[in-house]
Amino acid sequence: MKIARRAQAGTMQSSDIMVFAEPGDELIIEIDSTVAKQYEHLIRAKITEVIERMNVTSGIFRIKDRGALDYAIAARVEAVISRAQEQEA
Amino acid sequence: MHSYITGEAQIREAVSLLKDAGLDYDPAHEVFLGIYEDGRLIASGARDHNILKMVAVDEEYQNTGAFSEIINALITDAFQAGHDHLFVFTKPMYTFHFESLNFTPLCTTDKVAVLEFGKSIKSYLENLRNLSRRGRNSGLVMNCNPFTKGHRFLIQTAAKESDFVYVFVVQEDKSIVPYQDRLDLVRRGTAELKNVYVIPSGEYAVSRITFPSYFLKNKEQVTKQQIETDLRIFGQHIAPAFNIIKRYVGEEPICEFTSLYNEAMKRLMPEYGIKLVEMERKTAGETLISASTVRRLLFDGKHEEMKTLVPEATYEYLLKNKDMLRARFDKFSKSSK
Repeated sequence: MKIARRAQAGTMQSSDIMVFAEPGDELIIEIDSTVAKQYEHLIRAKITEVIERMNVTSGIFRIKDRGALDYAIAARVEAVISRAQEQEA
Repeated sequence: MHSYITGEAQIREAVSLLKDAGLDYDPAHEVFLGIYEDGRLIASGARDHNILKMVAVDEEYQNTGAFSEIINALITDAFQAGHDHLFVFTKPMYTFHFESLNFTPLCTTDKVAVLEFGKSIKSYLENLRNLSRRGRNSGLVMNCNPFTKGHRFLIQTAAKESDFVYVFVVQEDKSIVPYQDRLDLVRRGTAELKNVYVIPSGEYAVSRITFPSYFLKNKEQVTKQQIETDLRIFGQHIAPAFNIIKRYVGEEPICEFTSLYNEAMKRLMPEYGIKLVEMERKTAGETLISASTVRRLLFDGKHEEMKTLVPEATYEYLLKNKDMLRARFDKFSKSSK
């Protein structure tokens, strides 16, 4: 499955994460995080896990994290993928 | 929750909030949002195209979530309007606040800090990395509206005196000759120069972001600040990515505004180890070659005279597209009044 259109999920509140998705030829995950130094690898692992579970094979994901916990990351990534599949209204 | 700031009384309240933060009210914006608590404005922020401005938070609410809430509202609104690459101009002392919301600093002068959100100059340069060459290279930033023999002479000279040459063509589509056509004419006009790369400037050189007044007719709005921002981005980010140690420009005897830009280059480029090479304008007979002269000759129907100033490909293009260019000229001169 590919990212069909641009979508966004999440907020910039502390402990949340904002995720942007857009179509792309390969799978790219760009992570900006206030806690990148300590946790970037864990954030990436979580995002990759959700993307794989939802069978997404290509698309660009831009992540703006403000210290979100695992379940918040998973929920936001899931939401952005669902939105990126919806038909244009 | 945020709401739109509209109406005289609300705007007056916002102006006072901005004043406390040391900011001026700027009427050029598409949306102006505010957060109210008990009917009182505690935070504001506006967006013009993909530029965020007038972001201010009441002093009492500095350490609440008000700042991230207003930024969040602006980003969400901008995304819905189709902008996923945002810029903010702020005071250097506020850089840290934006950084904590994942904005990336692009450039700082003593008065202004520019940060970006969404995409970044890092990824712009990353995408161009396959064009990066070792050597003593040169760079040129040009609008080429349209590409003349003067532009070609400047590029040829740079090509002779450098290992590789990077020509950044202004990507902002606000000139009479459309961006894609300008780029195409530069590529065709330099095709025989094997060590020259022609690259779109993205939003990072002489763009609506780095240098808004370049596209305004009103010279009073040309600020030294903008020129400095534009040049520092070039020196700090673009030049090192391509090993650029010289920047070539044509002398500017006519346009006061471009000569101001050239003066600033002389002062700032050496800070980044870049030598400025300013070359005398090429002439065709008695005429100084300039793109504005070419446009005037085209619209005055003096095609033979024009022919001596431009390469063959540009000449053919101009004749073929005269009506389209005329229409764009009319449109731009109307909108800038």
